[in-house]
Amino acid sequence: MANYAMALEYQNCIDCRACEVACKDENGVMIGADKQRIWVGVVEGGKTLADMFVNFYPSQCNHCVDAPCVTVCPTGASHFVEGGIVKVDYDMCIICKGCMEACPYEARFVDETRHSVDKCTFCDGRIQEYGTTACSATCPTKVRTFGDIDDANSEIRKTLESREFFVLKENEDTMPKLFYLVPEDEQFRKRTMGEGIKLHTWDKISKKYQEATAKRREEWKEA
Amino acid sequence: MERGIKECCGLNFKSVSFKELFLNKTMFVAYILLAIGLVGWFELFSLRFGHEFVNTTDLVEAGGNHAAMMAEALKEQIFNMHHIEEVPRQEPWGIFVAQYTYLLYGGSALIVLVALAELAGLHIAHKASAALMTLGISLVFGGLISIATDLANLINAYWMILNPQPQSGMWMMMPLYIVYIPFTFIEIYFLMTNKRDLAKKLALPLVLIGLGIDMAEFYIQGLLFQLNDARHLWVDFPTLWIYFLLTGALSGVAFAMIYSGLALKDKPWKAELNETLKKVAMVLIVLVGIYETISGLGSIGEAPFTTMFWGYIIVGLVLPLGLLAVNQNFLAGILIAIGTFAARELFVYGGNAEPMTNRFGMGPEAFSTYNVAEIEKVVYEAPHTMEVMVIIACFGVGIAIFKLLDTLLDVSNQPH
Repeated sequence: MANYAMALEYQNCIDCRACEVACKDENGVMIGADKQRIWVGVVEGGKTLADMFVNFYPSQCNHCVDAPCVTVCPTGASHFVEGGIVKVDYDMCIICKGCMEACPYEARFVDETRHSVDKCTFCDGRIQEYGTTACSATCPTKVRTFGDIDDANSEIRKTLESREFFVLKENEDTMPKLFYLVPEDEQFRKRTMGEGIKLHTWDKISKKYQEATAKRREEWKEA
Repeated sequence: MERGIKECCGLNFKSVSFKELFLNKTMFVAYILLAIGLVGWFELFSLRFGHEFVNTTDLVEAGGNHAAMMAEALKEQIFNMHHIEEVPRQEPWGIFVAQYTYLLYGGSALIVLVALAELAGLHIAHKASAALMTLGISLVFGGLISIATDLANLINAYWMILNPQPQSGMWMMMPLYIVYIPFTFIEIYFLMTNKRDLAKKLALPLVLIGLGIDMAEFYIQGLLFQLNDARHLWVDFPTLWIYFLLTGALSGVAFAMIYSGLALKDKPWKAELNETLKKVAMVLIVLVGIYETISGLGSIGEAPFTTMFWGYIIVGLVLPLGLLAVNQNFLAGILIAIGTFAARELFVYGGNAEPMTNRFGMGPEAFSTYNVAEIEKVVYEAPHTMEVMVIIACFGVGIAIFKLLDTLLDVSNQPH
């Protein structure tokens, strides 16, 4: 059984937001400035022309192995499906917003057209047919590499094995599955990564992920 | 048996007319509060279920039909008009949860205090416990109405029974209330029943079981917040359930003081009750004051959280302490009630104050609107008017339930 994840070459992001448009179209997400399953975060900095910058951080649900949003859900609407994808069953959601509070990544929102909380699903219907998500298929600068991290021949696995990467808010212990690739450019790296972010390599961290996934795998429901 | 009294199941029910039951001063106050809430509920439900929200498929399917409505919905959604945004993504829990915690903790902590007074055999407990316990459970209902309103798709709640999630603090609330509410009524029943011998025999075990259920309730309430690891204010709070119990007890005593000031004008035991409430309130103020110096609730040094914090400390703790020293219980009760509401606001909103979008250690990220300039150090989205109206109505619910029970069962005159 696959174990889906995503590697993000965020230094390639040009904030064109084609990914957001593709996502909304693919998944029927309600239209609205704040209603997004995926987004590009923007941070501006610097005070003079010499040091001003704008950073772009593409992001979405991290499909954590130990997803706190699933734990706190009182109805079981938030659940795992095959591939370790975290989903919401719209017909079970009471919009208590507990999952929105539990998520350290602010990846969830209320979709008023569905009367439910909604979030990224890694395009779980689409990937059966096309093998990848709408956002990664659309990205003109190939920011996102989607795939099965348990498959040694997959592109994502090869990417992770060849590069250093980090995950977001590691101290929350959620085992997120968005792997941000450390920028190759030293200046860019310094400008976009705050202090305290731990860098990882696949050979060192993979065991931890495999063990955590094995524990939760029995909770994965049929897609 | 007194005229106009009917006995049923060991309880004395007053025979009252429709007018006496529903058309009195207290009920009119409740009706006004409920009427304000009706406007809020109408607004809220029309927003949730009557407003047009669209996705791209809807637009294509609509074609030329409903074009004006679709255009309006699109405009609102694209330009992110906050008045149609019921749940801000960055601040999922708001004033409904604050009101829920305020009334529910206040009401149930009042029940705890009454049970403790019964256990200690306080003389005043024999006179006032039925009334105060009824007041407590009435406020609990006010809090439950608030949280029921907050659940924006309550119709799916039956899944909590079909698909139990015992690991979830929020799910635990369901079995808790299924036990807690009936049990509290059982306690009230035994305080008021004519079956004195049976009541005396069961008094101690009932009080002890009641206290156990109350403690479990506060523990689960603490869990509800502390399961959210990313919300550091809630997680780092030392022994949250004890904090809820102490601050809830302070609110509960304040409600009792207000009740005493308004409803016990001619009762001979009013002075004794006031003296007891005063002592309990003073002890609680000191305990809560100590807690606040170590809790970190005042650590969010940004507006409006600083205003809430100092408003709470001054209005809810410092001024009432002075007023209690000069026996101004009623005024102190009102100030404590206002101050502790600010504390609940601060606690709920403060939990969301830290922007979750600071993910790369480079500061909070803007997204969607490109408006980087609007990004602030803390997250705060003020409640909508409709939400405030519903909150006002929750007080009306509590008042109405208490008054109905008081009129029918005369809980204010139940020495046992």
